[in-house]
Amino acid sequence: MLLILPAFALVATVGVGLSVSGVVRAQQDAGKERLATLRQQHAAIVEDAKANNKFVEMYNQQLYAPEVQQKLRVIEDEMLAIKVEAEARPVAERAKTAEAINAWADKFYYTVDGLPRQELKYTGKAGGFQKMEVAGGVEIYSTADFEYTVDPKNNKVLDLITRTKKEGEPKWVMDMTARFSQDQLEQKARELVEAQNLGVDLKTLTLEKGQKEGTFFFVWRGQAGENKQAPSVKVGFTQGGQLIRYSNGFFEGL
Amino acid sequence: MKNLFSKIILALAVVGVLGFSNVPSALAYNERTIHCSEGSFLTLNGPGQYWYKYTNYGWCHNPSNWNENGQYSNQSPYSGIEYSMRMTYSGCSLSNWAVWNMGNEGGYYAAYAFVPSNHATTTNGHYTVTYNGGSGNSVYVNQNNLYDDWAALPGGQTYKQIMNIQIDDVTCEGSTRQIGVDEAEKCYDVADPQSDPTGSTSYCPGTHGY
Repeated sequence: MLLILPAFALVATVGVGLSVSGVVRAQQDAGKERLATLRQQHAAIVEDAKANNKFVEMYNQQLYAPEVQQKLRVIEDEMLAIKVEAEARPVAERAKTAEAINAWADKFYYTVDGLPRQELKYTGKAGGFQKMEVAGGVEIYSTADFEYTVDPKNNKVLDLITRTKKEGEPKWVMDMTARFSQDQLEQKARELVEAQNLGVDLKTLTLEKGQKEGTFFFVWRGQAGENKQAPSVKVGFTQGGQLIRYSNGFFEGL
Repeated sequence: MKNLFSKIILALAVVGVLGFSNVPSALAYNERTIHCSEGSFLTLNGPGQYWYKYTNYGWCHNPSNWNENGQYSNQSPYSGIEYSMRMTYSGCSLSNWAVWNMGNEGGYYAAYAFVPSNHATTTNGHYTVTYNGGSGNSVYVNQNNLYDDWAALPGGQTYKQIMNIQIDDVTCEGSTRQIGVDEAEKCYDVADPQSDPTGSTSYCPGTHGY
């Protein structure tokens, strides 16, 4: 009896695994079929544009007419959405990562009064961020204004950056109230970095301070190695104290 | 007892094989090419007096950065280019624009543009990626929030044969905002998504596809 019960459990586990695998495969097959249809539609629109000379000149180049580009874009967006979802981890696992990001944002981003809370959405997988690769890859989650790069192995936020926006999207919400001096923002940056427990001593690194129009940046750099980007940690704020940049170039494996 | 143990081991092996059957069989190495602003890839258009050049800014030839694939650009070797960037000021009608020639090579790529730490303060940087024989996709980058950072541009498995990347001065935010022009990069994804639906986009850095 002691041996039979574990055997049943194993069979049940395998059965459930196969069942889930079957559902996933069915979804993947449906996605492939839809992709094939979309590719055919895409090719037909391109052929029609070429056959009927639906081009305009822009930047000294012949580009498809705006209405043709718009039709193609709709198809391309759907193709991308299918691909992103097909490659994604299960929804429940991503929900845990999103929860960790929201907790991080509560602590480090939503610290300025009046910042609107923005919904977090899964955007896809990537190999890393900036010029740094992360073993096993990363996941990217976006709000209306920012992108968070996360290591799904430990749900650690590696990078926060201002999102690139599509045509027609609302502009970024920026708190540009003249509230903090550069020195005060540097102190906030140090506190943020120290709270990440990166295992680095900022005193051993070279600090570079930078400023644009109402935005301030603090970059602590180490030495570049052969075929290696110099390790660094970067923090940026608006003069109102809104966090606009965080990049952890000290993650494990660098 | 021994027979049952063997069966359990066999069952675990079957589970293992089934479990790993969805893992991509190969992870292609990403061919990345950085197109330096001082190489032959970049063309500056519009009145020359509105283009400004600043040395000791940008990605290429910056001693803190490492190159990829042994070179910064396949026509602008590391040793032969200058550590510098270009800039023009904001306007509200097209006057000046820059074009990176990205090669129009077969295959699908992710695309990026480098935003330097200085002389790049537009909050509405207008980039257009052209691809697929005539498509164009425009996006906006807040350069004022980036500091020696690569901004993700449209690219990935729906962007066949990237032809060019353009940035122009139509930002409509006053004439003092600076539009920084430096390096562009493409990261190889896949030759044909139909034959290789997984591809390697997920192994290029940052978000792809806008």
